Amino acid sequence: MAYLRPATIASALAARAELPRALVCGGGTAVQPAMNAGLLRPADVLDLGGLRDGAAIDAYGDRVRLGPVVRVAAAARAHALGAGVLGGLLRGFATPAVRERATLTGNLFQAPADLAVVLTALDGSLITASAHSRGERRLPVTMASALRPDELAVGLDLAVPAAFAYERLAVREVAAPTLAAVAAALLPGGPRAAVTGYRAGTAVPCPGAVPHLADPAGADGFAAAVVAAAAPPTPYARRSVAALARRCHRRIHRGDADA
Amino acid sequence: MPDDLVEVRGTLDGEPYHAEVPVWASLLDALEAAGRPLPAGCRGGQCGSCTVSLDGVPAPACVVPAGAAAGAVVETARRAALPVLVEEMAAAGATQCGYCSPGLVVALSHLLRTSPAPDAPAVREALTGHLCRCTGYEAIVTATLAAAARLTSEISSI
Ligand SMILES: Cc1cc2nc3c(=O)[nH]c(=O)nc-3n(C[C@H](O)[C@H](O)[C@H](O)COP(=O)(O)OP(=O)(O)OC[C@H]3O[C@@H](n4cnc5c(N)ncnc54)[C@H](O)[C@@H]3O)c2cc1C
Ligand code: FES
Ligand code: FES
Repeated sequence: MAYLRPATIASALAARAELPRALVCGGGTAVQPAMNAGLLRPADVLDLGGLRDGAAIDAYGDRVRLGPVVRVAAAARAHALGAGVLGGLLRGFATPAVRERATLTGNLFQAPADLAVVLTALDGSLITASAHSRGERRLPVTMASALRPDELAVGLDLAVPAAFAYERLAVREVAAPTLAAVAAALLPGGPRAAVTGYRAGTAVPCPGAVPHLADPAGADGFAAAVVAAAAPPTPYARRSVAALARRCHRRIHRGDADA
Repeated sequence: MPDDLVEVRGTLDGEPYHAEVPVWASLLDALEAAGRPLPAGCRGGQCGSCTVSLDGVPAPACVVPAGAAAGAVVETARRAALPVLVEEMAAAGATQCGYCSPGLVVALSHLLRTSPAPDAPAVREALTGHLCRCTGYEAIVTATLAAAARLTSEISSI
């Protein structure tokens, strides 16, 4: 039984190769409650929380690379991400204390993962590596389950938005499961949008919504295209997704969500 | 030490502490093993009753793996509490059964240290993740704003 807390990504990859069955832990906010409840009883834990080279937020061109243990609260404060641009996603994500510990990367391994829709709209990808291979692999942010047994997620890559909006529907505003959410971004490569919830299940991109997102008068077309991507099963659910989409459109073009 | 246990050492309220716990144990478990139990409710990061200051940042001890806290400076309300906040909470009736109080005192003391003049929405935001079944929260908000006002007047009178 071992609790491993490597200090570098290279030593974490070596430990992963040696102990592929060890439970990987980022911030621990998902795995520790599961261990407390007896749902996980790992023989070994590989804790990435102490990686000295794992919490960097590096801007390059109009994109940014986040280390595997960048915390949600740190990302929301980061200037490299356009300070405050991602602040909107903080409303409703966990609690202030949990946000300080929870990593973005760890979220993508959870179901449901609130950040998957956000990172899909930001053209994000999950970067993986292993001690056995030279290069890195890139996976869609919704494909964390495709990680190989000897790999770790070693970073996230995403575009820096000029404008960003995120709207979610939940039974409570805070610390409650998301029923549906829409994220929209104006990126250097063009607008992008994604939706989650109902039949869409995990986050799906909404390519049909792109022309309407670029158009300040395109709120209705944007909402219709997002609803088509989400395929909500009931009239109530369709109205909810359409309302979230309209709020996002308004936030992108007018800076606030309320009509 | 049995080989199915891991050793955790750190600083608790200014004193060294030491615990031997399984790899799956939380910091909350380690503090219990070290003879310093905290109020525990959900053990899932939801209720806030076990919140400690971990290297200066509030964290529910139940979501922190014990091994992740090795070498860290842990402070409970005993050491992290701002006396002015405790006084105002007592005056406002912001503590009844007291089960939630140590955790939320850690979080609100951190708020007052990092943003000395918070408004009511900022106090409510800091209380997110702290369940109190007795007070209805209003007295806690009132006490925190009163403590903030005292801290601000102390600073401006220097
Ligand atoms: C009170 C509370 C409220 C919460 N609210 C929300 C919420 O509103 N929305 C939400 O989406 N989630 C929420 N969560 C769940 C959780 O906090 C988040 O999903 C968080 O982002 C997980 O990140 P972590 O670093 O703590 O993950 P961990 O618990 O450390 O790990 C989660 C998973 O990711 C894997 N993993 C982590 N890092 C890596 C890596 N680098 N390589 C490979 N695998 C890795 C782990 O093996 C594990 O399977 C909440 C949790 C709590 C306790
Ligand atoms: S017991 Fe730790 S937050 Fe509830
Ligand atoms: S005073 Fe009883 S739970 Fe808060």
